[in-house]
Amino acid sequence: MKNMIERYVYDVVRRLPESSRLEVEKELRANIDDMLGKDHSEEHIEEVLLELGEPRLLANGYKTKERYLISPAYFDDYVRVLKIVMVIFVSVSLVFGAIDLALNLNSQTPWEMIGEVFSRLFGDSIDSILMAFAWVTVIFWIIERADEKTKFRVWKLSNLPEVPKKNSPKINRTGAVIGLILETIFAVIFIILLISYRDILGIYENSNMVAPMFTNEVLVAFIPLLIISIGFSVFVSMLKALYGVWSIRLTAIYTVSKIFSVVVTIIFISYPNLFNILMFEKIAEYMSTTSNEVADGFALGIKIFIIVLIVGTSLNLITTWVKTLKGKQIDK
Amino acid sequence: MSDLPLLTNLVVELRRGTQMIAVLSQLKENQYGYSLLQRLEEKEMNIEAGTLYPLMRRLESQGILTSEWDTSDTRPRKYYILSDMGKEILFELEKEWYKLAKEMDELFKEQKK
Repeated sequence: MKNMIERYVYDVVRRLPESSRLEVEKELRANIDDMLGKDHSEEHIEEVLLELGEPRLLANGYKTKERYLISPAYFDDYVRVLKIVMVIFVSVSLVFGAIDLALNLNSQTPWEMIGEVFSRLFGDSIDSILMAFAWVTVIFWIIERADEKTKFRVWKLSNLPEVPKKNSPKINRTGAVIGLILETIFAVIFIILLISYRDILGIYENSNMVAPMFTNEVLVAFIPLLIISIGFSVFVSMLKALYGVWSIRLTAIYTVSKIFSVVVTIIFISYPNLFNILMFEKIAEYMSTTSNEVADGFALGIKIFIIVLIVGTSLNLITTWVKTLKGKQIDK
Repeated sequence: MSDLPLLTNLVVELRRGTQMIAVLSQLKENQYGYSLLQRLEEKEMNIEAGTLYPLMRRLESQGILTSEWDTSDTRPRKYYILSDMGKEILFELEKEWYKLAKEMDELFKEQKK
């Protein structure tokens, strides 16, 4: 049963660094030999090896330094960063997946489409979670090795984080992230529609367009401004998800972005000749009235829309400011 | 009480730090792995073989022990002994041990009053 000792010794030393294998093997054999004494019976060999214990644990005892990917000292930071990075990676992959789906959907039937969207977005999410895992782990591994070697990370009192203001009104993080994802998706779809599909909107008769909805030149002139406005508001949603608390600064930026987008929207929809006169004529034809009356009706609708927009935004901003300032006061 | 796993763990943890001092105290003269194991057993300082052998090697790599192979016998043996630094360290550890024992004693006495 010599074989058993061979296998045991091999199982220990294979876990050790190359440089110490020979020495440990020689010593371990000598020790086993001593422990066996004169009795080399199978039972005694078994007894001795069992006494030495599991090869994995024995090998671990020989190691001079602890070995791990992420040390306990870094583990909490690792988990915290991992969570944030996962949220970001999943959001980004969902957004890109959604864009790609919107542009290159292969499905013919609605059922196929639902299947495609689900499998695609689900698969993308899993991929991005694994990717977040890999990246965060590698980066922490590098930080830890570098720290071991150079001790570059000197702890200072000034490194302490600020205590979060208890009473600052919290932004619901999950809600903010979901909002961000949806907003991004809609923004992307809207921009794609504006750029690539703006001339398919209109009134059709027997699948021929008879009247476009917009006056092309006016719409084209507005595209940059609309993109800036949408980009700005997506950016502010990102800040919201990131900070998680209504600070004065965030509320101020939020206010600016809201007012900016309301102003842009109002200028856009009330711009003369935005809606094509041909469309008004066509609608007038269907409703057997004059194009002027249709245009008036449209103008009224736009006015109501603007009023609702202004009132809604104002209420939103006022409640946000009240929340922010209240939190500030209690803090003091 | 004594077969509570929690208690067992705590005892193992408590003894772990002292094991090293016990091992060093017996290495003022040459010892090989098994002889040291037996010697500690005789003194009822029980340490597992799987703990002792790696510990000796680690102490050597830290410079506390020095070693020498004796191949004159039919079975080769690796003998360990305290290095000069090891002797100094053992001396300091012994002092520390007595200090700790005294401090603990005081603490326990205070509680009993």
